[in-house]
Amino acid sequence: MDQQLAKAIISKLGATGTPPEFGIETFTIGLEPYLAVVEEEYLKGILPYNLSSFKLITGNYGGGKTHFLYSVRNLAFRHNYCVAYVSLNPSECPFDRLELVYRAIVANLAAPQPVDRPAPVWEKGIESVVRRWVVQSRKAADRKEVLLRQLDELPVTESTSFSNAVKGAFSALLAEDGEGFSQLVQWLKGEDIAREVRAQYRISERVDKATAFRMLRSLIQWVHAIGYAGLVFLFDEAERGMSISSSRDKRRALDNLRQLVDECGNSRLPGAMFFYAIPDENLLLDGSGGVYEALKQRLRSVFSQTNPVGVRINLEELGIEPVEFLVGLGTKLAELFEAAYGGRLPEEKSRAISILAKRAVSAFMFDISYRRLFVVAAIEAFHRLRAEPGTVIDGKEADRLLRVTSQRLGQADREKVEGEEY
Amino acid sequence: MEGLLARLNSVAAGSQKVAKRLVAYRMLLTDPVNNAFAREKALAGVSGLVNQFPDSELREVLAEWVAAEQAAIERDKEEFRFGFGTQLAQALEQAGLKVRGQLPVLRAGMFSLRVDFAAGKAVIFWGPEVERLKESVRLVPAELASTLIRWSRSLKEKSMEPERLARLMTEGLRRVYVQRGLEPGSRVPLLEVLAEVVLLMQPKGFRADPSREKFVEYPRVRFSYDLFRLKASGQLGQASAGIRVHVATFDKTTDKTSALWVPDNEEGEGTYYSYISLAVRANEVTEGDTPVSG
Repeated sequence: MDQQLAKAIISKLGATGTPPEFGIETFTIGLEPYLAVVEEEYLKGILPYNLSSFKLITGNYGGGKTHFLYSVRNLAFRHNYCVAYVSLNPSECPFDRLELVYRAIVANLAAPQPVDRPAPVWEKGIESVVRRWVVQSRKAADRKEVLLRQLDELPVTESTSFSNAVKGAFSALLAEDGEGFSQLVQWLKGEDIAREVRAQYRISERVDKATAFRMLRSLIQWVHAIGYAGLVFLFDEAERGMSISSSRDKRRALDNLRQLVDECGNSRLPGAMFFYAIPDENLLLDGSGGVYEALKQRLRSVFSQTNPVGVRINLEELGIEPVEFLVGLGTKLAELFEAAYGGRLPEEKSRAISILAKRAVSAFMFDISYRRLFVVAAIEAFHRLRAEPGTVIDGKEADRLLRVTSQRLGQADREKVEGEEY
Repeated sequence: MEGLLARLNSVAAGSQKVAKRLVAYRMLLTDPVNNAFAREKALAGVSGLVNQFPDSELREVLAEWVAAEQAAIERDKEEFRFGFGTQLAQALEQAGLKVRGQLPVLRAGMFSLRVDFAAGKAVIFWGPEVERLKESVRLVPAELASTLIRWSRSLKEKSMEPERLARLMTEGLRRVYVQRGLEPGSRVPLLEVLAEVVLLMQPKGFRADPSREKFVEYPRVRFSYDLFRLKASGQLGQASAGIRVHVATFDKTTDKTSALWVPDNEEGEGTYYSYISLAVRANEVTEGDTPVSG
């Protein structure tokens, strides 16, 4: 692996314990059985038959949800799916405000791309997908009239306005009309545009809470129509709490979720797969502020190799003992660390990994998952072993490392929350 | 001289108060980590008294000690956080209660608890933060564990036999049907039937003299647990064959008087129910309804 890339991965993991967007396979462990089912049963299985599916990912805070979602994203790219990874949060993208969720989806829409290195930021968003569509269409047929005829033959999506907007954006790019393209992309992103531009391109709708679902379906239909296998949505409730705050918001969010679940399977969402990752299913499905039993029942079945139609994927139960999981993870991280800094770590690394793994597992009830604690503490231990090869990481030192890590991550969390409040 | 005497008396009184608090504080130092939150509270009291102390070398020494102790408390609170979950899990697992979840909310069997480290307190709930059972419980793992174990045992020991509950519920339902002029098969609020069940289960003595002393209580948490057992028993008597409970809508679940959370299993997963009915035909089951006999 490229040394700088390895260093970038180690740096991200060592600072916060959160995974980088690239190179995720270099330290993936235990997810293979789940990913194999997602790939075989869905990406290669039913989705190409214009079906759709919904999965609920549950896992503690710092327990590998984002890692899992990035892994799914990489698989989806390999099978020619577009992907929208959306980090849900209460201020910018709460799940009860579907029009904001739609905006976040189109802003994060990505066509298949290499996953072993950081993707340039401009390769994200509906604008880049439209541009790529034009480039690829041009490669296939260079004559403008052929391209425009193909555009005319493109199936109309559920929202005619959406269809007109993407077709208009295509034509504008062909005609090298930068201004027109920019206006249409602005509309596709859910922003307002001038009335005359809407009239020019026969756009009669706005993206708001009444139309957001239709726009979402139209987006899926369009992505499918322009040659991709489908669209994979990765919703990540990445915050400690949920993006939903009040009881009323919760009801709306759960209604949105129920509608999404119910729509999966019908032909209006060809090739779409939704993953919704939450830190605590009880926050969403139980507890105070109302419980939506109808949705709970729909999400009750457990996904596994033997039951691929199950809805709930529990990342706390990977079928591998926690210590064994951490030792495997630590070994991969050590290899990555050695690639990042050149040279071999002293043999003490194996003992350090083993001790840290055992101690971290006993701290399973911390407010931060033992997995994230382990990752950050292990990387700190590797740095120490590299700087002072004679260092001994015994039980006491492992406890100290975990404790300091727990305090540091906890403090960072608190600062983040306070920063959002004011 | 009078002024001097008054100042000396004031210093003596202040010293005595501080000394008394320090003696109490010394007791807490026998287990500094587990008492970290109690020490914080006690030290705040000492600190207040020290601030009122006349300006002197003694006051400076006391203030320095308070500052050093505050720093030590912060360290011990972190130490406590580090060990809290593990100690609690060990204590509960000895009693067969498996702890799951992530701080600040943990689940132990059918109970859950919300931990507030800043306040040094916890709230214990029945179900996933459904019914508040006890608030402001001290963050002492052994005490928390013994409270949960005691409740868990009490629910089992006081549990009504499923056959008896089914009989009482059937009778209670019939009463509600008659009172309201409803046809058998109609849905009635579950909590309304609970009220009838409570009346039906009262001893003869209560009927003769309905005083508080003779009243046999039946809290909703026990009803919830007994319904769980009834659902799970599969040994229902003839009279209960047609009892059905109906899943609550979202709005009903926000109102304690309209819905009851009932566990589905020992791990604390559960369902809210709001209505109950007595089926006309035992094999008639509609979607979303749970026949108790099933």
